[in-house]
Amino acid sequence: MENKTTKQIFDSLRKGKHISVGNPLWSVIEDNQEHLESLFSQIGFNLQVRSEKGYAYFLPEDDDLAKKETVRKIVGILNMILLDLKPKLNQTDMEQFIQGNLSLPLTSINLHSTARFSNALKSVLKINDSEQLRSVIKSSDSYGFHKVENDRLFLLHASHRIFEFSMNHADKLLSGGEEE
Amino acid sequence: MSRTINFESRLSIIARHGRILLWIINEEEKGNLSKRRVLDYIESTDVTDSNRVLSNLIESGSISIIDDKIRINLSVKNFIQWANDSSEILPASRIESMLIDVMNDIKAAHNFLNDEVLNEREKFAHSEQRLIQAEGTLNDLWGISDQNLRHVVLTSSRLRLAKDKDPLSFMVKVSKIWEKDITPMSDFRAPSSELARQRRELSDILYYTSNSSKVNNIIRKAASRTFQSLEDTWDYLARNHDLMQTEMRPLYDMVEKMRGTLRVLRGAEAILESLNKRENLNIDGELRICRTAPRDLFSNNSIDSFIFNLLSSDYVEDLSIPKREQDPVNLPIPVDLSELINENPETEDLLDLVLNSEEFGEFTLHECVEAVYSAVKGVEIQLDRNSDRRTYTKTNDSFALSALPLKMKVK
Repeated sequence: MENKTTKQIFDSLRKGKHISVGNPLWSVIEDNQEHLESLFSQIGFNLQVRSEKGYAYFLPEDDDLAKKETVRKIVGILNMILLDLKPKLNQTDMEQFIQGNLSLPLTSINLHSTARFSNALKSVLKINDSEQLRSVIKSSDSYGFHKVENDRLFLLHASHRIFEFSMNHADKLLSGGEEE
Repeated sequence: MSRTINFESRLSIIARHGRILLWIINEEEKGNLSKRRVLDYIESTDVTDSNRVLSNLIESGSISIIDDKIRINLSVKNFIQWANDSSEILPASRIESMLIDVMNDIKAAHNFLNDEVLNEREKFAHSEQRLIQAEGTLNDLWGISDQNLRHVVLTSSRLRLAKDKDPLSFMVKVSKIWEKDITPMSDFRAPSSELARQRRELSDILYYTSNSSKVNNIIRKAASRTFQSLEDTWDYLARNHDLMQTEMRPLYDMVEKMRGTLRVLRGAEAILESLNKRENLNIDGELRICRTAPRDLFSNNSIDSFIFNLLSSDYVEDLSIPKREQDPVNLPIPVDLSELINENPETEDLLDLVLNSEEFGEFTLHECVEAVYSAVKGVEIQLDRNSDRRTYTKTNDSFALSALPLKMKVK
C-alpha cells in the first residue's frame, strides 16, 4: 500500500469523514484493515471498520469531536427526509433509497411544508427555508453519510451509522416508557 | 342419526356440495356456526330445498349438528381442504413429534422381541403391531410433507403479489412459515441431532431384524418394510424441506430488509419527536464524530501529525557506493611484513615477533595487529588453539590485546 494513500485515508478520516463502499479508498481500507488499525492506533486514532455494512471511520477517544450543531443538523435532516418519503415510496423503493441505490432530487426536498418538520427545522436546527436546507445538505456531505451529485441526494453506506443512532434512540425511548 | 349410506352415495354428496362444505369450513373457523346461517347460505346458492341439502350432508356424515352448532367431520374437512389447496401447513414441531412417535414404536417393537416375560407368539404379535403403527405414521408424514410443500409453494406465490399491498401481513405470514414451520426442521435434520442419531441407530436395528433368523418371516418382512419406509420418508422430508427453504428464503430475506427499514423509520420518528421536544440527543456521547484540527503548537496531535507526515515521504532506496573522501594516493600504506618474514621464515608467535622488531617500533599496536591478520602471499599463518591466551602490548600504545598466538611458516 502506498504511503500517499495511507495519508489520504488518514486525512479524510481525521476530519470526520466516513468512507463507504464505492469510495476508491474503501477497498484499500478493507484489504489493509489490520495494518491500518495498528498504524493509526500507534498515533492515537481508533479506526473502526464496519465491513458488514461497508463503511469505516475514526472513533475519537478524546474531545476531538466535530461540532455538535452541524452533526445534529444532518442527523435531523436525513431522518426527516426518510419520514417525508415514507408515504410517497413503496417498501421496495424505500429500501433502495436507504441502501443508496435510489437518489432524490434536492429540489423535491420540501420539509418546511410539513408542520412537524418545519417546527424542528426552524426552531431547533435553525434552518429557516428550503434554500438553507439544501445548502446544509450540500455542505455536510463532508462527513460521508451522503453525497450530492447532479443536484441529487444519495445516501451512502455510512448513513447506517446515523440510522443506527436513531434506532438506538428509539429503543431507549421505548424502554424508558416501559419503565415508567 | 345418519342412515346407512354407501361409498358411491357419500362421494357423490361430498362432490355435489363441496362448495357448501368449503364455506362451512371457513365459517366454522371464525366461530360458532348455527344451523340457520348454514340454511341461509345454502339458499343463497340458488338451491331450492336447503333443508334437503342439509339433511343429505348430515345423513352422509359430512357434518353434524350439536346444540344448534354445525360441526364438520374432520376427514371430510381434510379432504375438502386438500382438494382446495387450502390445507394448513403442519408445523415442524408436529413433524418432529410424529418422528419421535415412529422412533418410539420401533424401539418398542425391538424391546418386545427381547422381552423374556412374553412367549414367542406374544413377542411377535406385539412387535408386529408396533411396526405397523410406525409404518402408518411414516405414511402420514409422507402425505403431510407433500401437503406442506404444496402449501408453501402456493402461499409464497400469493405472498409475493401481496407484498407491497399489505407489507405487514406479508411480514407476519412469511416470518411464521420460516420461523415456525421451516427453520426448526433444520435442527432435527442435522446429522448431529438426537433424532438423526436415533434414526441411524433404529435403522440399523430394523435392518438387523429384517435379516435375523431369531424372528419369524412376518416380523422380518414388517421390519424390512419399516426400514425402507423410514429411510424413504426421512429422505423425502429432507428433500421437501430443501425445496421449501429454496421457495421461502428470498421472501424471508425481503422480510428481514423490511424489518430493518421499519426499524429505521421508527428511529427517525423518535429523533423527530426528540427534536420537537428539544430533548438532548446526546450526539457527542453516542454518535462521536472525529474532527481533529491543529490547535496549540507542539501539541500531541502536532507531533503525531509530524511523525505521520514522515511516513508519507517517498523513500528511495540508495545502493550507490559513497565517494572516497581521501585521494587514494594519500591512503596509509599497510605495514609490510615481507622483509621480516624473509629473515624469520618460521615463528611460533608472529605478533610477538612483529611487536619486538625494531623495524616496526613506531607503529601502533592496532597497525601491527592489522598487518599480522592480513594475508601474506606464500606464507602459512595458523592460529595456535592449544596455546593459552597471551596479552600483547606496546610501549607507545595505551591499548593491550588478549589473543591466541599465530604460528607462521613460509611455504
